[in-house]
Amino acid sequence: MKKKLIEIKNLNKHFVLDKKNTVFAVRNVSFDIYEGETVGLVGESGCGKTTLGRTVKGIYDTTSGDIIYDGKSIVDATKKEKREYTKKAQMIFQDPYSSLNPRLTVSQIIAEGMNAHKMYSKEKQSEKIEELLEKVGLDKNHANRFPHEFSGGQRQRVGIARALALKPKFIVCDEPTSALDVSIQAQVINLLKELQNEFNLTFLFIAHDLSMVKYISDRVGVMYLGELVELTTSNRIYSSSVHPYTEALMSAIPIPDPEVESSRERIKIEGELPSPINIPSIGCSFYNRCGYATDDCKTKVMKMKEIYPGHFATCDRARKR
Amino acid sequence: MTNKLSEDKLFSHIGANQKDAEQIESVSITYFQDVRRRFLKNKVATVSLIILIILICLSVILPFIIDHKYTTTNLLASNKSPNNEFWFGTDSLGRDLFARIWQGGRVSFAVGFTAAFTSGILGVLMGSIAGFFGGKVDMLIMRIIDVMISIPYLIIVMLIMVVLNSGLTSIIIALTITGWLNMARLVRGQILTLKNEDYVLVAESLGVKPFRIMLRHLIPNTMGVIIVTLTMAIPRAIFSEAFLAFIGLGIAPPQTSWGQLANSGVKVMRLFPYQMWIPSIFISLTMLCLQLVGDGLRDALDPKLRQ
Repeated sequence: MKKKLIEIKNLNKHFVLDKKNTVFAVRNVSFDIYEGETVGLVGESGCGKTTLGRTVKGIYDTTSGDIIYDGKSIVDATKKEKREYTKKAQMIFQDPYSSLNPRLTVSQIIAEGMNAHKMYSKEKQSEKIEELLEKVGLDKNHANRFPHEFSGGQRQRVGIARALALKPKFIVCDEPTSALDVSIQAQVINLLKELQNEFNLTFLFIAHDLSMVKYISDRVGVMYLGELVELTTSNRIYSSSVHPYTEALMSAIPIPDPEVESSRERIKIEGELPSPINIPSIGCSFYNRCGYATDDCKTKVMKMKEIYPGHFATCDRARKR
Repeated sequence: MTNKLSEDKLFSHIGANQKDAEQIESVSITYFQDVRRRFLKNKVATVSLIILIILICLSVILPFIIDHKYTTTNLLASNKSPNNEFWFGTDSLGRDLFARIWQGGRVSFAVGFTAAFTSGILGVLMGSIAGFFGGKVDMLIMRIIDVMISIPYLIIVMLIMVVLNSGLTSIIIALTITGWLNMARLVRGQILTLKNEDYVLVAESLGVKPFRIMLRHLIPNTMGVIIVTLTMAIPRAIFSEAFLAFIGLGIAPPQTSWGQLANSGVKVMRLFPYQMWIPSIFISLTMLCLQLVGDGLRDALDPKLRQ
C-alpha cells in the first residue's frame, strides 16, 4: 500500500463578496494524494480547480475542512510548521509571462526561495542555481539574463527551476502548459515527468487538456461547480466513467481518426454553467444540465460513493452496462 | 531525374541540435541600459539635461573661482548695468550679480533636490505601506493625505516657517511635509495594481517576507513613476522656494537664492530691469529644462514603448 502524502478532508473555500453574496469556489472536496503519484484535476473554466490547488498549496486559507500533509494538519499548524510546508509544497504557475518579475535576472528569480529560507551559503547557492538550470534543460549562461529574453517554454522552465529550488516533495502544477505552443507543451510535460522520477515528486496537476491529463496522471479527478464529482485511475476515467458530467466531458475529446470521429456519438450538455455565487446547498449541482436527471436529483444529497475499488463518484447514472 | 543539388552534394543534412535551440544570441540589455538608449534618442530632453548639468556644475564651481564675493558690498559701484567688470551688473548695495546668481543657484538647487528627495522618500514609503498592507492602515494614510491636500499648502508652509524660523532647513522641512502627498498617492495606486501580479503571489508562496516583497518586487517596478514624479517635484520645489523668497519667507540675507534675487530685482524693475530679468531667466530656464527632462524620462521609462 502506498503512503498517503496529502489528505484533503471536506475542504471548503468560500469567498465572501458582500453581505448577501458568497462565491462557493470549492465545496466539500475530499481525496487523498499518494506519495509519488500524479493526480490530474479537470473541469471547465470556473469550476474551482485553481482555487482548490491554491488552497492545498496554502496560498488561500481554508473556510472549513482539513488538509493533512504527512500525517500533520496544516490548517491548524504552528507558524513554524506552516513555513516548513511552504517549502515542501511548491507551485508552478499558469502564465510564464506574468509569474516572472521582469526586473530580476533568472538567477535572482531562482534564488528567491533559497534566500527566504536561508538554505545555502553564497557560493553554494550559485552552484545550485547552475545545477537547477541544467536540470530543466537551460544553459548556465542563461543565469544572468532577464525573463523578456526567453521564449515561453524557456520561461516556464525557469518557473519549474524556481519551484524545484526549495527541494519540494509536492508540487501543484496549475495549468503549466496552457500558455505554451503545442510542440513546447510536450517538452515541458516530459520534463515534469523526468523530474518526478528523479526527485520522487508528487504532483497535483490542474489542466483542461484532457488528453494531456491522461498522459501525465495516475489518477484523475473531475470537478464541477466546486465539487469533486468523480475520481479514479486515468485509464478507468476514459474507458468506464460513471458520472454523467464526466461522460459528456470525455466524449468531447477529439479522436485522431476521421471515420471514427464522424461516426461516434457526442454527448452534448445543454444550458450554461450555473454561477458559483450562492449555490443552493441541496440537490445535485449538475441537475439542470444532466440528461439522466429525475425529480429525485433535485433534492437528493449527493455523496461520494466507491462504486468500484479505487473509483469514486457522486452519481453513477451513466454507468455502461 | 533526381534533384541536381543533392547529387552535387552542395547541401548535406546536419540534423538538429537540442542545445542550439536554447541559445540566445542577442546581447543582454538591462532595463536601465534600454532606458538610457531611449532617453538619448529624445534630442530635446538630452539638450535640456546637458544645460541642466552645466547650470549645476557652474553653481557648484563658480563661487569658488570668481573674483567678486557675493557678500562684498561696494556702494561706489551700486546699480551698475552689465559691463566688462560686472557681467550681470550690480545690485543696490553694489554686490556683483554674477557672483550672487551662482551662489543663489547653489541654494536653489540644494533646496530643490533635497526637498524633492526627502518628500519623495517619504511619499514612496507611505504610499507603498498604504498600498501593500491595505485595510485600516491604507484608510488612515489616505485620509491624512486627503486632509493635508484640502488645506492650501502655503498655509502649512507659512505655519512651519513661523514656528521653525526662516532658513534653509526649515524651507526643506516645510516643502517635504507638503510635497509627499502626490507621490504617496501615485505609488499607492501602482502598488495596488502590482500587488495582484502573479510574481508577487509566487513570492508569497515561496515564503518571502512581506517587507522583502515590497522592496524587491513592488518598489522596483514602480521606479518609472517614482523617477518621473521626482523630476517633476524638483522644479516644483525650486519654484516654491523662489516663491517663498519672493514673498519674504525665504532664507535670510546675505545668503541668497534665485527667488530672493528676483524679489529684490522686482522692487527696482522700472529703473534697473536687468536685476529682475537675469534671475528670472535662470529660474525659467531651469524649470523648462527640468520639465523637459522629466517628460523625456517618462517616455523612456514607459515599458509599453519598449522596442
